[in-house]
Amino acid sequence: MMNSRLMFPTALLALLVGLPSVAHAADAGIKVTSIAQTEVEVIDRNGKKTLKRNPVEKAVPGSEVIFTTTFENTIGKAASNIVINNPVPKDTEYKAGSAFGNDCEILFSADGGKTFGHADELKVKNKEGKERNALPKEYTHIRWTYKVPLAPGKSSEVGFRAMIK
Amino acid sequence: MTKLSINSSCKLPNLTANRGKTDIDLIPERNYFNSACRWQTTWVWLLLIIPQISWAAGTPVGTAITNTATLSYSLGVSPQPDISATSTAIVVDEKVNLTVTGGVVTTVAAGSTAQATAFTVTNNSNGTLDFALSVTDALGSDQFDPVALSCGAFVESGATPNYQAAQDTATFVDELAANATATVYVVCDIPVALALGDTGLVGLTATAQGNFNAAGYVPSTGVLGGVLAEAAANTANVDIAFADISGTEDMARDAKHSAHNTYLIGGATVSVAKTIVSVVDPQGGTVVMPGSVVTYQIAVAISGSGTVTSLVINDPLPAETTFVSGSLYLDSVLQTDAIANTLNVSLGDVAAPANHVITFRATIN
Repeated sequence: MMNSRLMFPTALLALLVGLPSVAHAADAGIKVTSIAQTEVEVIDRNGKKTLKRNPVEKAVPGSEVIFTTTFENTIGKAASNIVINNPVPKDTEYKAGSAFGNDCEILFSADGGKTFGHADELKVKNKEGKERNALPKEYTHIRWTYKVPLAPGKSSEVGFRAMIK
Repeated sequence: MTKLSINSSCKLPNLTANRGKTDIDLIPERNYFNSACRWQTTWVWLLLIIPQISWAAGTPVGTAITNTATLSYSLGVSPQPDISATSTAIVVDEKVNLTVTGGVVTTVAAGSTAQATAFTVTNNSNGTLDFALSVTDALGSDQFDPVALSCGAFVESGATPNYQAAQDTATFVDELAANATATVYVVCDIPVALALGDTGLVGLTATAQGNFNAAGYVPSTGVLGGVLAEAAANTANVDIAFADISGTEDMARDAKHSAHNTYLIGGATVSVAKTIVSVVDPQGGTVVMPGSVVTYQIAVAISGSGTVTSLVINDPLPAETTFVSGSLYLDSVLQTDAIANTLNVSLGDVAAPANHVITFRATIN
């Protein structure tokens, strides 16, 4: 049960997260990290193919990038109602069917984050104002909603693939 | 009917610039233009242009791409402040692609010189680049090659439509923006003794070039940028990848593209040269001033093969002059006056080769 003694660290946390966004958030909360990778096929001397992921810092238009966000519960208590909101990065297109995450519902938006739904529920209007189903490359946001809490010390990850326009 | 209208670039000289001058040379052959006006009959149409897949230019080189995820959560029943994380920026590299479009048939006369045929060069890369140009004149599958070593490639300057030798002088495409297109003329001499219907192919190859440093593209206005090479991934400088497809004289992924146009032998060529023969001022001198009488000459030459039907020379006089009645002669034969200060001289059907001279006088207002 929350009492007034917990209000102080919570207020401190509010101050800390008011700072500009950094790759790693403050220690006294869930640790969130976001990375970008490319995937290449590696063939060993026996002809066996494996997929290897490397960090990517430079890429040409047309390249596919894997964006992964990892979160770790470093608080002493279970974290619940976890929702991750991720706008599809500018100058990229979401790759159909590539969003991943465990124990969560994945929804998309095609209208700038105003409404979210499953793929077949998303609509866009064409030039004449007529509605049609949104194409995956037209998605503007992805949202993961966790159905179960994240226990202390546990971590999980979500992510998706996008093509650089 | 072939109505020959002298276009604005072929105007009689600006007389106001010469007002008050007393040392005008009266040698009849002297031109008062920097270059004689030439007008040529060419029929240009587009043959079966095979559509080529050219990828859109893409995100501009140097753009930084980041992904930001925002996590919201609760501890028990208390909502907690959101936490965001942003990935390390991905910088977009240079993807080089270009398209040279040809497929144009330009009709020319055998023995004619400086015959221009138009290509376009499009920059399909995601950043500005220069494009070097080279002409291939010895191609097979045709009846003739343009005169050896006579061909040049010149970029349309944009000042006047069609090829103008005095204006379109750049020999490489300079600082062409992503998705932009330049018009390039290949200009060659045509051999003599060819038959009507003979064709000669000529090719244009464009090569993407430019200077890059760690920060990105380095503009070099007026100077052709350096030769490009594909870089290994993740070098310190901007990486460059070639994404072009093969053309007629080049291979895929070589930063080049090429295409062919066709010269077709057919028809006659008409060229027109306008000169001032003399100026007589009211005092009997040679000053260009109000009241001076200027004698003009238009020399019409028909070369090549065939006949130009119903050739009419139609030429409005400069605004500051008035036609002198009874002064219009075609090959020394008096013609009816110019109406409303516009010449209209009918030469009828003229078989090549032929030469005609039109003279008339006009008074400066």
